[in-house]
Amino acid sequence: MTAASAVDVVRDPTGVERDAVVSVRGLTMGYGGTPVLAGVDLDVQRGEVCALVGPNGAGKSTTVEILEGYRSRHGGDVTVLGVDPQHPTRAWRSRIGIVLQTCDMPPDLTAGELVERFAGFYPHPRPVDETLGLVGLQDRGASRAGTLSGGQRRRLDMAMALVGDPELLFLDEPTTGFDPSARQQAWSVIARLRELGTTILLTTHSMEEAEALADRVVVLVAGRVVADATPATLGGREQADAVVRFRLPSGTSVTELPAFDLAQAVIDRDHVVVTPAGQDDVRRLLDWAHDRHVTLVGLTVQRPTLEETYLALTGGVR
Amino acid sequence: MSDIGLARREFLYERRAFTRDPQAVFFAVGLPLLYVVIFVSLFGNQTLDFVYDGQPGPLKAKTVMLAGFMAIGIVSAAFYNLSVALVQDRESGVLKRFRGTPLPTWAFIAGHVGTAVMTGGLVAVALLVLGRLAYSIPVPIAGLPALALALVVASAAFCCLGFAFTLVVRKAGAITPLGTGVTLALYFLSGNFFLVENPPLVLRLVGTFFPVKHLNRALLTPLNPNAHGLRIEGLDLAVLALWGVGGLLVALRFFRWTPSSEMSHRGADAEGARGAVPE
Repeated sequence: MTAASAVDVVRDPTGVERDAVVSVRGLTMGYGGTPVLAGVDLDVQRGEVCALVGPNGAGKSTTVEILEGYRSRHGGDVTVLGVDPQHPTRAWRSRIGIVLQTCDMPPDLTAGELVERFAGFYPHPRPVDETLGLVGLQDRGASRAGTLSGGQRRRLDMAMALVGDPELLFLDEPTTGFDPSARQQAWSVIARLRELGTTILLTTHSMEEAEALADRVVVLVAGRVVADATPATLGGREQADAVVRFRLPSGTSVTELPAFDLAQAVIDRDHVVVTPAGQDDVRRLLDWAHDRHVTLVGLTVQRPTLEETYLALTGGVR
Repeated sequence: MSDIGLARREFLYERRAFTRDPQAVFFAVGLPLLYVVIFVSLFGNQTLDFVYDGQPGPLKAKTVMLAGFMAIGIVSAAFYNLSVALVQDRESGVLKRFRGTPLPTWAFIAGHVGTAVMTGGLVAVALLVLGRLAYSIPVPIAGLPALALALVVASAAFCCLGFAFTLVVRKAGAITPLGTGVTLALYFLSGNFFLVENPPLVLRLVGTFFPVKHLNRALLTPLNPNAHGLRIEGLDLAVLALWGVGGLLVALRFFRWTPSSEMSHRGADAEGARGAVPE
């Protein structure tokens, strides 16, 4: 399967036409008597970017390493591209790409040589120059790996995982420790891969990253999936009450504000914060401002951020 | 790409990485040269007044020393340097990355074997040239094919043993002292530094069991100007090959690709973390 044919796969939001590239049912695992995974269910559809998030020790890396074929499991059914990763084969390995958390590599070969070396392992590799271009390293092909910056090495890392033109790509915390510009570059690489139809399973600690990249966010807490939804709807976020903030107009006091039914209005420095605010609260506030001919400076109406939703789901543990 | 082509490519990349690392080249080639300069200058011109290891005499000490230091060069490059590099690469996650690709284990090993044979050849040529030019150590032309054969068999065998040896340590820092200890002990017990007329039984037993003494003999006979015929020490080469095959089998079955820190967790013994990749 090449990226060209994978592009043909229809992106169906209802999930009816799509096939699961990763399918996990009741996955259990423990280290020395301590359970780490307590029955994980997870599906990743073809062409989807799925973010696996959760606090440290929640079992993200263990789950991913089981899927990558590095680790055995205690129980449950797991298939990755139709194969049980507990018995990895060469043909199966040629269809997946793995970017590990660590990024050490032989320092004395150049970036181009490393990508070319890895290209030789796969039956239908991407052209080396194209792969370097994909991660924005087209000008560093002749540089030895040992002389690249941390961000460049991480992108080289990604190039080595991509050169086999994988159907499924695992990214384990791909931007941890990046400066904002390096992170933006990495994100644009991942977005481009998504457009090319690559299925991606990524783990991350950054909700900003999950929101920017993922079609779906799966939250793992203490070895269990506690939420599995799109970034916009995770934890019922789109239904949740909003928080309204605005600066108190000069010459008015809080007591003059319209009554909010069940919401509470508090003063935070020079701002009024109404929480939780329903649609009627917002309408009443706008009518009030309209009638009094005042402008509500700095007005925002905000649903809980993905980060706030995540913190609520994980009980505040990061 | 065919699997043979893959193994050849692995060799080319390993060789390239090796020749770009001055420290690795110095330890592999420079150190044996230094040993020859020191020991041969001091003791080399003595003619042994006893029959050394059954070799036809009279034999100059420098000929025995040249063979001994050539053996040290081969063992350092193929066994010691390799196992140190492999453990460091394992603990830093480099090997784990290779494991995540369809590269067959045997092609990965073959690339290293090729590099070891090449380095062994480099060491041998450097020592022969130095010995001939600086110390007039004779190089019998008739012995060169036998010398080349010993070099290839020994480099490949010690390389496979190097892969197996990585299994005995868990930490990257432990491989250097342990590897140094093991190789130094074997050099002393196998007579690479001292020429003993009638070694005590324990030395003879150790020498007979472990592969270094056999390597010494397989290199010395081709260099002995008094030897005749093909000068191939078939029995010694067979012992070396046996050790090599043993190392290879252990490596194909148990070689570990993932860092030891991940081993404390059960489940890292998965097929995906150990031994050869199934087809």
